[in-house]
Amino acid sequence: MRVAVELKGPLAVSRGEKHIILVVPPRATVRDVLIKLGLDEKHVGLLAINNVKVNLDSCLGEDVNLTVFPVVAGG
Amino acid sequence: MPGYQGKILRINLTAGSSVVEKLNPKWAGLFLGGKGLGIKYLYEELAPGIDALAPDNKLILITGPFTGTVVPCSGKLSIVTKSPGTGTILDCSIGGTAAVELKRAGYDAVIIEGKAAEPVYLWIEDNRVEIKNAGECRGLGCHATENKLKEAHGEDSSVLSIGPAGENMVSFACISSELYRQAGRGGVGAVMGSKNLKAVAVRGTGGVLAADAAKLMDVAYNAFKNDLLTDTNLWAYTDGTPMLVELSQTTGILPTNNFQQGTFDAFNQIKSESVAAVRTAKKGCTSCGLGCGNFVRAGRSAVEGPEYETLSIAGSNCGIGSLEAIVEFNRLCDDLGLDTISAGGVTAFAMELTEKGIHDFGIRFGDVEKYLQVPGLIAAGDGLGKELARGVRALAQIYGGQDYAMQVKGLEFPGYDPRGSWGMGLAFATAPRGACHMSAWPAADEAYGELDPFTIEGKAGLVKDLQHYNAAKFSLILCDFWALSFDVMAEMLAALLGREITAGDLELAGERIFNLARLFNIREGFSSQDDVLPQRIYSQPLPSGATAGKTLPEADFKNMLAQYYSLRGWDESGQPGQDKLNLLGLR
Repeated sequence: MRVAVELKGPLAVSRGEKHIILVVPPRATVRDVLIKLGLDEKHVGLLAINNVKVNLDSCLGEDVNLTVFPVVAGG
Repeated sequence: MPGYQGKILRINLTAGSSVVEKLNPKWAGLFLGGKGLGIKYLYEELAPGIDALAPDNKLILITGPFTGTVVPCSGKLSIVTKSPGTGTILDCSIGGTAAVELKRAGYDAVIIEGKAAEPVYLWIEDNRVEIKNAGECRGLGCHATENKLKEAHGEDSSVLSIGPAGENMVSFACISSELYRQAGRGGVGAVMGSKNLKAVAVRGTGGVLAADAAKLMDVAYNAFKNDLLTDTNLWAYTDGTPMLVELSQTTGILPTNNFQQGTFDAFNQIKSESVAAVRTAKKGCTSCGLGCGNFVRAGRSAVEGPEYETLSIAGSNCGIGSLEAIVEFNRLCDDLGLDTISAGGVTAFAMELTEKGIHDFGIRFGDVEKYLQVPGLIAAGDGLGKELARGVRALAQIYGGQDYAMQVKGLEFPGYDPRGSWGMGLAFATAPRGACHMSAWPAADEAYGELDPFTIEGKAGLVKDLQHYNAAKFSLILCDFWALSFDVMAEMLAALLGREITAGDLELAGERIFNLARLFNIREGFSSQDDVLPQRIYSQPLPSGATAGKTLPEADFKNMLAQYYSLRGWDESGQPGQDKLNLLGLR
């Protein structure tokens, strides 16, 4: 399956790229994508598939957009 | 006295006098500094029931123990007074350089009393304190005032000033510094204006004593390296608060059209990437390790900002999707000396009253031309502005619309819809200064985080703990954007003061400070009857996005509030019990 990943803020800065296209196996989860990208879960905040909030165990679909926000504090 | 200068500068504007007093060391130990120590001084010195705009009120500018030291993110100044907008205790913090200059001048705080006969400003340079004529600055905006005083006293001086809004005592007038930094909420600028005090300029050349300077340097450096420059904090640098626009849109809590919706069709135009596209520079406060400030130029307007609260409350909440318009609104508010949250909130409320046919203020959602006229009219008290300058609560009392007057205790809502972040509703209802996101910010854990935002389970404890954390952190005066633990705070404070301090000590201090703020409000006549939310939150479901169909039902809210009181050791009327007060040393 093809997944378009968008990394936000420092996650994009530390990886050096904001938009990434990944090919993942069927029934892959958000967690699988984070592992594949080498992202530490503790630095990851809100996750959204096609602008809908999801969690680490959510399954991805074909051609979805996964947005990964950093943890935020303050306000 | 390590960490403190041991001196309070007391100014009486009526008498035109100043006196230096000893800092109360016992109070400093119990209430730390900044917010906490300011509240303690005000609680002890202010007679209950006074008019916040009368000479009897006091304006306290106060530093923290870390101010002027090597500890990062410690450069803000606290300002404490009784709010003219709410009648509650009011504390704000302001970035820039004023806190460090004041501390280097040799003072932990300045307590300003009375009222000058003519407009004046205060010039503090180490031991030299002068009350000077501010006639030439009368009517000037904050930017021109600051430039004028820096011309007179040097670029390296720091200036706190009010604009025409403060001079005219608009209930949500702010105090400005470094052109674009504000002590924004609750009308601190109106209190300054009521005293005929146009500005405070300060420069200091001294230092701050640390009990163990080498150890403090070591601890602060490790904290900087290991706890500050982390992926958990760096969003403040890479994006700053505009990142919250998309987070709020995704989670359905982005205030839109006076909280009638939790999503905004034009959110893409005001989200972080759009702000970054017009960004020209970054900036931080003195001693900052992050640099959250964004300088932007959009069209003909340039500003440091806009922050999320402005993008949401003065943007989507007014139906404004033009970033250029929001930047200009922000610039106008900064220069005129208005809080962008309350200015945006009252504008949105007037828009809804107009569209519902309740009263025609001549302004509708998305009307950019009228929207950009609002700050100037409010500051000058002209026409529509005279009405809006009263704030949302007063406007609702006159014209109606109480159910959707989005305020608590008279303070307008910040940019989070409690229907999609139930803990945020509790935080707004119980924050000492009214609807405030700085007392606790549970939205990060529930709407933006892993907790279920649509349950009351665990929220009372979460809000209580966050309130203690922020009370302690803002009394030490560490920046909101540094998500550091009590342990790290305690380690740095112990090195500074040269005595053992534990995380538990600081947590208890936070609880003590929060309860003292509550006691102040109770003394002013506030009770559980004031810990409420607008009816819209309880009964009007949001129409779209992740919060479609959601409310925060009143029964759930009341249950959550009761749990909160119980956890706090407060009775059903929201009054702290004797056991709790004894434990906190507040009897």
